[in-house]
Amino acid sequence: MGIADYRVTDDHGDGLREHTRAVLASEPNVVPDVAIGLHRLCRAAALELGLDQVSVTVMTGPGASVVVASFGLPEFGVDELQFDLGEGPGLDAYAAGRPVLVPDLRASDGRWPGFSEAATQRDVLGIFSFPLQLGAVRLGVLTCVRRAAEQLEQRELTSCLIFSEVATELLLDSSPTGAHPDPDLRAALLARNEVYQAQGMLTVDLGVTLEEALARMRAAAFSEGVTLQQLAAEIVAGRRTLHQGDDL
Amino acid sequence: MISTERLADLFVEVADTLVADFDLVDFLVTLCEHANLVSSADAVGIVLTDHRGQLRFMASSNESGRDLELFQLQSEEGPCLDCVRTKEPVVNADLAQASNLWPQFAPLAIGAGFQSVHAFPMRLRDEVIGALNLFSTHQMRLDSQEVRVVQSLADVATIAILQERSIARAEALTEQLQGALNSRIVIEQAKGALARMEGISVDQAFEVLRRRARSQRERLVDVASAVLATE
Repeated sequence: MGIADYRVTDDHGDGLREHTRAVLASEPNVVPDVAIGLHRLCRAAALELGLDQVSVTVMTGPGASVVVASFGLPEFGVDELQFDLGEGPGLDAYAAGRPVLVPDLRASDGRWPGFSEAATQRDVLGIFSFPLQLGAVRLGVLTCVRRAAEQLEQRELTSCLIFSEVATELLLDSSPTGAHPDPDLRAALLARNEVYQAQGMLTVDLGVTLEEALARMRAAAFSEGVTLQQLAAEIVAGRRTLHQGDDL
Repeated sequence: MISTERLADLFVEVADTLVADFDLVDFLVTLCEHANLVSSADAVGIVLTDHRGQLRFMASSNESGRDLELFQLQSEEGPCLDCVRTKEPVVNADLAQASNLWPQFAPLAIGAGFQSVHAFPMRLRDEVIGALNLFSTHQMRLDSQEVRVVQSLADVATIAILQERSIARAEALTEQLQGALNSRIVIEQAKGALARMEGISVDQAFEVLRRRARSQRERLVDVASAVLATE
């Protein structure tokens, strides 16, 4: 299936995720490059939703960011613009942990005066920013740009949210110990509080970040042949933990 | 029986809370606790729909309320799912008579000591964004007046989610819902971390987080983030 024909709403993004993973796995001797997957994702989102630009920015803090993938018209530079000016919807989405959806920058109530002026001068009116996150794990932002002032329809909004979920999963997959694609990750994350609780517990037990705690759990579940949920439930029940050096 | 005196207290607290920069999860938990007292139910819970249309646990008055919501989400059946699908309340459902309707959920709920359930839709225009559930360990019957009162509590929960200044903005609902769903995850992560730091259960950790938020006059999600940031 060509990625351009792909409809994310048909299967909640599962096809896109599988497709991206298959491409990465077909080059076994190459270190999986998350940027390739994210670039394909940006391309698929832009083509499917008729957006003028889609980009993924990874942030390690409010002041430290890098655009890791982008598709569309690069001359807008809305990501760089926000970081240069220190204001914008993407920075707010990252800081607040929720989407910031602006169909028309001219009607944004002066929230970002410098950014709005500079972006409208570059012919950008619509900007939709989606945080890439899992609870307190803040990875970055997916930015969707439209030159015209136009709302995202409900169907388009749903697609954007799914694209940002897939982008989040790709970023989580790329962490050093998270090299095992885990088909039940999404099910586990959606359904069970235990996965999040166990993640928090391991930050204390192992002295690692939340992101690494999840990667360790996924690696351990994979090597033990249990689901992430089963392992998390054992950890929360206090029946086991992971140790430094486990499963590496 | 609905207690009008307690109902008055509830609306005073709601009015107090909704004016400030409040924490949505904390507010919904408090609303569940009040609804539990007002209605003499034994457990109250709230679920929200995400962008996939899947229901996610959001708040409960106690551990039973959380477990009963999670039973429904895991078995993919129950009054809250019916209520969201039909956009109509489910009232006075007798669990003993419901084993055909909810073959997995009904026995689980009865096994947990419950006998009757009610579910009220959280409506916004023509959409349903979640449901408020009441669970009772006896045969709890709501008359039509009481149904209206409990529905108004579900409406309060909806209003709280739309805390946005300009409700007219079509985007506000998505922004709020997504933010709320993520802050619930932050709180779960913090419960786990705090439980290990203090050697307490995750449920005790949740109470510690809420107490800290109250005494420091901070939002629950900010207190939770601070716990995680100390790692």
